[in-house]
Amino acid sequence: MSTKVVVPRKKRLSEGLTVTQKVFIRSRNGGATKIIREHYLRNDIPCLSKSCTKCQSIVVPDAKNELPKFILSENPQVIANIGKHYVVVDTNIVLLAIDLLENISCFFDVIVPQIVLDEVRNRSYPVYTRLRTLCRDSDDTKRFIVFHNEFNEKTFVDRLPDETINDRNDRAIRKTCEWYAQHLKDYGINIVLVTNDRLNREAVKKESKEQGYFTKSLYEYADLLSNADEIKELIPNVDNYAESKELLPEDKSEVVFPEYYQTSRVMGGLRSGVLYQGNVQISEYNFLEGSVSLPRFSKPVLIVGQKNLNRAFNGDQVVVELLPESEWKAPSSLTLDSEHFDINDNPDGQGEEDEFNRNGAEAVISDKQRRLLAKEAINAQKSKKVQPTAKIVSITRRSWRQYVGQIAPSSVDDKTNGIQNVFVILMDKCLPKIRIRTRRAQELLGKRIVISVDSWPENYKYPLGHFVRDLGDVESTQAETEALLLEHDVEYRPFSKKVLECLPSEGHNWKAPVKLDDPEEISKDPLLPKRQDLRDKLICSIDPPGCVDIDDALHAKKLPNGNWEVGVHIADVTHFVKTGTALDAEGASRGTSVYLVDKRIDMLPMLLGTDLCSLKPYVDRFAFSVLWELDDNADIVNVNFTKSVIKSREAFSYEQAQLRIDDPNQTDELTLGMRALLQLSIKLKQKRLDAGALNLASPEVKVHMDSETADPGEVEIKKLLATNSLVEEFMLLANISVARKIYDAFPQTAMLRRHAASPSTNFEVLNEMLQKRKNMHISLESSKALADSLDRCIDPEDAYFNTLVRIMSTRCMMAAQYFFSGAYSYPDFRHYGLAVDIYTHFTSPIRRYCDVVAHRQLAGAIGYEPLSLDHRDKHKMDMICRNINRKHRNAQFAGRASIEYYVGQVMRNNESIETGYVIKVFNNGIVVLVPKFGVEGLIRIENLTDSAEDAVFDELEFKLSFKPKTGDKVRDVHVFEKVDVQVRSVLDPITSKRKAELLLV
Amino acid sequence: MTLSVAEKSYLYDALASTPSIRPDGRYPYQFMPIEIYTDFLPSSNGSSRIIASDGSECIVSVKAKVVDHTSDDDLLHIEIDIAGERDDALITESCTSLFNKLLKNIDMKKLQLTKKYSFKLFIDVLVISSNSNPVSLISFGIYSSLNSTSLPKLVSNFDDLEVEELPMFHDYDLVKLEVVPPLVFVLGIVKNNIFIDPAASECEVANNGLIISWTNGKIIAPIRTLALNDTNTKGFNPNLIQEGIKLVEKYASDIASALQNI
Amino acid sequence: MSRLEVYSPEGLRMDGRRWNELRRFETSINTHSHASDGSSYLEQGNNKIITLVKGPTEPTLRSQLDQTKATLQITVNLTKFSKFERSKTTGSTKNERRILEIQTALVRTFEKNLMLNLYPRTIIDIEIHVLQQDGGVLGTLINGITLACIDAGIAMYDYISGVSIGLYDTTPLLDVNSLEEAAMSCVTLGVMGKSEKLSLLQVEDKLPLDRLENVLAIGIAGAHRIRDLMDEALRNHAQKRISNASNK
Repeated sequence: MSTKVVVPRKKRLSEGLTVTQKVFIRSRNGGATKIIREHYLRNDIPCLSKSCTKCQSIVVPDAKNELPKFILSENPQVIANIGKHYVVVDTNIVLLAIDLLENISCFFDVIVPQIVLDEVRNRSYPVYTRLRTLCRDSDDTKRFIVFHNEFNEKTFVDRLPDETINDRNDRAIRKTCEWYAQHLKDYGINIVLVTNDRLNREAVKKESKEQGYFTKSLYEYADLLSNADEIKELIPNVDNYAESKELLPEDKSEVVFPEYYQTSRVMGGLRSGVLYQGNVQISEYNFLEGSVSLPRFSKPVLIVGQKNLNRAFNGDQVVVELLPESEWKAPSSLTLDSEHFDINDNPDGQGEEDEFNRNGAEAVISDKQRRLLAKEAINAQKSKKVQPTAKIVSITRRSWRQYVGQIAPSSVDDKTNGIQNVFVILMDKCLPKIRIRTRRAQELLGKRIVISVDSWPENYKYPLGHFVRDLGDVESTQAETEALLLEHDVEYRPFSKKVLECLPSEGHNWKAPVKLDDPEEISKDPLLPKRQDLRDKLICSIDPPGCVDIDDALHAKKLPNGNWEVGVHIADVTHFVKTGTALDAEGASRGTSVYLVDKRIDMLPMLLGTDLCSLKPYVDRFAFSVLWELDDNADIVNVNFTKSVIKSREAFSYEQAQLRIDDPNQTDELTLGMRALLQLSIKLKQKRLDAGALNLASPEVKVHMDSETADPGEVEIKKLLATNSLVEEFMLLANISVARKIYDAFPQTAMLRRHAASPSTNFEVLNEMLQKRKNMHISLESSKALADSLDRCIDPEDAYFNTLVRIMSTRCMMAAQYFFSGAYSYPDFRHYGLAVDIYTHFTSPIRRYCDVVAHRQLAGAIGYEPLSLDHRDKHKMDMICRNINRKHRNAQFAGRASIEYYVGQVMRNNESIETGYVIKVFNNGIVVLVPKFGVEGLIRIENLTDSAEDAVFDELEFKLSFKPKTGDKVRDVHVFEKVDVQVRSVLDPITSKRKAELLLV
Repeated sequence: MTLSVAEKSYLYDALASTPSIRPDGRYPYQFMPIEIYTDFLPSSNGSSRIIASDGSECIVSVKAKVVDHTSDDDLLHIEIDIAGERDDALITESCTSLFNKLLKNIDMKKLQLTKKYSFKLFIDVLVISSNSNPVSLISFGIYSSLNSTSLPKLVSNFDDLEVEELPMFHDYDLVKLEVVPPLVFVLGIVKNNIFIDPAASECEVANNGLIISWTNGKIIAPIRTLALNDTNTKGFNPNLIQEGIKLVEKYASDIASALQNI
Repeated sequence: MSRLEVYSPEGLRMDGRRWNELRRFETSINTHSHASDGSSYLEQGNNKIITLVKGPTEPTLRSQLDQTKATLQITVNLTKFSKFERSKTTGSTKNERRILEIQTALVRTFEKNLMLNLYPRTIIDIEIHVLQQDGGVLGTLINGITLACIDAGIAMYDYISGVSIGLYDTTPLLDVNSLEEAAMSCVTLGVMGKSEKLSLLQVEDKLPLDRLENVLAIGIAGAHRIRDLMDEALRNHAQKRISNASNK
């Protein structure tokens, strides 16, 4: 076999432009396609150094006729032995240490070669985005640039025979450094190539005897900085093991996880159906048990044990292989959390080796046998209680991000002051502890810290990470809030200058034009004449008390023909937030405002949210209005959409509005309108319920804050008034009307929201419990049947039981999601919970980005202004939808976590005995929900009885029998049972997490 | 090409005389001058373009695809497109069937990747123009394109029967395909004379034609007769077959080595 | 969603060109003198096409006979091997809808530019073989035909030069390759000589109207540049022929 390398020919096209061909083999799905692409080399790519006198003359303008900006400083940072220098980074440094690159106290004047950017993009798109942002916003402090070495004829390198692509790319980076070094020699600026690749560094030394530039590892480079100690702390872990020569000796390796399969085997297995791909979800109650939902299987496939989980993190995309039938089992009825597991493990290595040494040589199973196994597994899921289990053989995509946690005190050696290995226990209990190396272990004890995971080699029991940032003391409001926002990936930093520059220059003094036909105003806003003047309508808003971002306002008026004119007016956010602006990009990326107990993280800057857009009373505001003509039965006769100017007459709270409506003495027109709205809303609601809309429940509570000390006062279950429902009904109606209109205008890209029916398997366990314990059943035939059967789940002795069932049902439901209309076919648009065929979000553009898109699409649909391409392109809409779905979910979780935290703070002060309900029974404990605080907690068997081994768990009856600590009689606890529990808040000494501790009374 | 009766008669007599006199002065074993370019389609795995001095031109592309040979064991697919002819024209179909038979002589083992997967070669022939029967030209084209073919290099395991693996390939390196495709020769017969590579005018008057295939130093099946025109065709002396075979045996290896060295 | 940097913030495209740069344009003329009356071989980027013009000749079919002018027939052969992956369609690709569309578009483009009325009762048969394609093929076909028709000596009013322009966000990109073509909406223009007259305007996918002007402006400028390149090639070719002729 002879290897053949064709060196592509080069052809000079004109002065400074040469063309060559890029040839490679694309190996995909087992195929091999030869790809050739033209590749142009040029001489007009500048070095972008301000000190350079040569490059200014070669630059050419781009499509916008702008010349490139020279960014690299003429006076860059000076370090020991090297002096003034620019940094060139390689791919691994970017992937490993993007945090460090973003750090504002190191890495200035950085050159990112294009080949590095390309490699980063292929390996991790999020990191690529961060790097691009870093280059784009490269202001005067950081100064990052991209140098297109691949297109520069002086730095382009051909691939040599028998050279791997990595070697070729490393050589390209070296060539770039060489060029820069040569180019900038006269200006006294040196080049430092930072790479952790030893071979690459050696190659530099070999290649150029007269080393034109320097090369350092990340650690070596950090060491040269003036703030070396601070920076070295932040260096990712894999690196300092290798560099600090304190490498864990091979023989010290603790455990050996199975090696991941090679790509070829994974691909082959996926194609032939013996391997499966999915996202792993670690059980909330047992961190050593995960499950993967696979399309072929009706239920998730279980993954049990550390070895089978094989280093997967919660949420990773993994490839699994089924285990032999003898290892199939029922989902564990044990609970386990990482924080209390193996707490005595020593961060310097050597844990128990129990599980790992058990099965040695594994017999080879052929694919044919595996396929039979899969069939067997599907049958088993249908018939038996036993579940097929699987093991993870490859991780296709890591879900790693930055995590918040705290150092486990037991892992800290308080005698040393040097670098030591410590464990960090993460807030997310589904995740393992992380081993980090730090010199500041003692200082960081008792603090919330941010860490980043770097790697998880096979021979380590725990993943390796590094310290990123200190948030502050555990249980300090500021640290906890920040931790919570970080954990839920909520962007909470203040809006950047670029974003704020997009706001109207008038600021708070902005005023809606007095007259819509004023030529001067029209010259500023040519769309003004298209607005309808609705300032004569008697409009009011109804919101929770203290609401400042008023999205919506309403009015109703009797028409001469006896019908009602009803208007819903929504803040005209898109008048201020135009597509393509930094403001829009920020809003799109935040996706939603996040409401915490004591804080609101806005999607849009305050000026808009609480003033210019907010439909405040007594002032003129721009709005987007939906105007219906409704008959007495609340059926739509006519609907109309228009941009408008309105003047709200009053801003009510729900309670004020209720009082006003109920007060027979009030007979002014505004009140009459409100009464009409209430009547109509009742009819609308009835119609909705008749159609099968669900009335679900969540154990939501509200925390009252002491207005002076900002300490949490008391917890209250949310109350609902008729006026809540008034507003809600009209918002639903507006959303539905808008959804129809934009779908009509943009059949492929309309921004909609759907809610899929829940598969019956989701309800299996709940139904079994209901059947066994209460002889009840939830029907899933249709949403109507579900709604009716929920209504029937009533315990005459306990009014709360129905709510409990609703809470538990809600957890079995699918989550609603945003989508663009091209993604699903019309029947799948259905919103199951609301029982409508089509739905969107239109009514809260101040706090949700979906509504912003819907506004723009509606404006396009009514011909107000042409719709931006961004919302007419399926791919872009897909990106938007994915992002806002994720942000929406995160915002919900963050909100809940915030309430949970404050409830904990409230309970801290008042220990009490409350009523609770058993909602889950395990082998070694029960889960109890306390409605009053909306908290649920696990009561471990050890806390129920002194003789845990005598407890009997009856899986079929959902019953746990044990001898209570006080008394001799055996006590049975069933699911759904109403129990009295002692509630108190405790701080877990290991995790420093405060949580509700429940004790059965 | 249409010739007058006088022209035809003159031509016939010249070719039938001993030794035969060919209108362009060639010896019986001589080919028309040809030009061959290979590798001119970089997006194919192998390619060639061959132009005869009478303007006949043919382009051959070889593309490879990975197939599961346990379910698709036909590893060579040839398609011939003759410009101006329909896909179901007689000439197209007869050429295709001829080459389908001939290419069975190629050692398919060379295409095997793993126990389960092989390369399947798609040989596309485009005859842009031809003034006489194009099979010989096509065979030269196929020969030189296969000769210039290089295939992606396998980097995954060869044994994939027990545990399925999809083949993976090197992202850059190619391996030269080493197969020896057959060559096809067209011979014209005029009276008792036989000569290689008849030109269009010679075809007009030939009494008959022969197609002889050759590979690796020996003549292989099929040998066919071929009517080169509609008017002059008749039977011929069987000894001429022997003579034709001898002619081919004598010169074919030279042609093969010439083609190989491109 | 393709995660490619179609147009980088530094103003470079995926193949290293700037927004307003054409691809490599190389052509030879009169490549198939035996087989046709006029011919050209054109490489525009990695598009490689052979164009043969046969005629004006007597038509073989009565239906092709027009008393007042020549019948123009254009056959496009997109070979199965012209893309990276061999096209899977079994049997002929000749009657595929897409190809018929291209052929019709080409006939429409050239019908008005060739002086067909000078050759009544004849047929002009143009045969194009696409050996390799890499985006913007229609434009390349137009250029190939123009060159071959000039070689064939068929009277025409002016050059027609073809080029495809993509619109990436708000940036028009001249002479798109296949990677770019797949990533955005594209327009193909056929421009008459040095004028701003369009003999073809074909929009693939949607394009906002307010951007069309920008796109056309750069497209026309690009087409003019192609016209110059073609003109240069033709003149060089003619020069060579004349010197060959006089040397004999």
